[in-house]
Amino acid sequence: MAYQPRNPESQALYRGRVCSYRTPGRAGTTGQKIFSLFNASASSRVVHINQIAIDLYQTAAKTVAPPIIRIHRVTSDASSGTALTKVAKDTSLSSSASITVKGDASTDGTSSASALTHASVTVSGLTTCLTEEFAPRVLSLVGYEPFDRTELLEGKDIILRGNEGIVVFLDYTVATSNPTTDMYIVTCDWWEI
Amino acid sequence: MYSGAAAFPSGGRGAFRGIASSVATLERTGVAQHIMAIVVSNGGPDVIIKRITVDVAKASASTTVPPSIIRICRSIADGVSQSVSLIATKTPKDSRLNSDNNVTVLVEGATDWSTTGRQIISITNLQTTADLVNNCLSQEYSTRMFTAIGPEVLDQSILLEDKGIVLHAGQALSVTIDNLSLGAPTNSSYAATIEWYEIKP
Repeated sequence: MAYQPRNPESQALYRGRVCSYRTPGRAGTTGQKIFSLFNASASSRVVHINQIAIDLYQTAAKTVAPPIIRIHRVTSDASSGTALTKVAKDTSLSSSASITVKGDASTDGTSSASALTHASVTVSGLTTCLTEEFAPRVLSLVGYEPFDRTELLEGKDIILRGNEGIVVFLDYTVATSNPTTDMYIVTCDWWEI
Repeated sequence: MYSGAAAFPSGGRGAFRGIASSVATLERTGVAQHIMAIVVSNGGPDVIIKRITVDVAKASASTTVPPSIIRICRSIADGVSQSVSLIATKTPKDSRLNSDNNVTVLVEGATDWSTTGRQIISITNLQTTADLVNNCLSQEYSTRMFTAIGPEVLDQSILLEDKGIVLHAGQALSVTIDNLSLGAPTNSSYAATIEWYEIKP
């Protein structure tokens, strides 16, 4: 008998993951969108988010507050940025073209030519926020960088119906909170039915 | 705890459940270094990845060089090659069960902390960073020490656990250290462990 997972994913039409490039910070004072996943309005599928994992490599000591990593629910697709490749957890299943993922790096360590943008996701705009965590900060560079990937929304089963999506936002207002030499990476796990 | 964990059972009665580990494998510089690959040859069972962990020990400081990225990537069995096969021992969780001969775990390192006997694994579709990202299932920055006087803590990275990754016959999966553009120090050592179970299709 071929492998068949039990519920809740046993009926999934697709189970997948996606990973971003190393994504440079953008400094500025209005934050930065680094990842989006969107289920288009005409989609015949519902998306269940299993997990979003984020890691950061820091290049500069900071005394300013670090960005707050916030994941927002949105009702329109993000624009610009760079499309990311979906990787199947089981290649016998296929993802819907209505479900798109984007990042803010065009290649490893290079920002997208046009920044990933979503007008409704703004600094301190908490009404659509699903979860949040402070990004790590080093007060001096004398130290140790451990395995410290943060895993957000693990098992929370956030459901995205047609015309719904999520955006990962670095929320900050001080440019040195997110220098252009710092690099974020994002991984997302979801399934479709 | 991931609520979907129960969706991925241990394989049930009769399914092989096993673990394989690498030696402490020295890092190489400027390459996609596949320190481990699990390969399911044609005719093999479905392999479900239960868990993959990686740990690293740093032997020198690297204040200016970014840390490598550990990436778990999909591949195809035919794309994986090694001039001399260096095969890890498949240790059963239950010694009454046997792994399928078509499931092989290749490793790069032969000896802890040494290049002696090293056998580089080549994977045709996993050579550039774009290759790695476009086939990536999980990723995390490796560790970095800003000074060599520092702690080595218990900080094994769990890159995949109960995520229901399936490898069908003809498919493979790599544990890859991506330092393609980074010039990481070559005296770091990585140790990887993979845990899986097999179901006959």
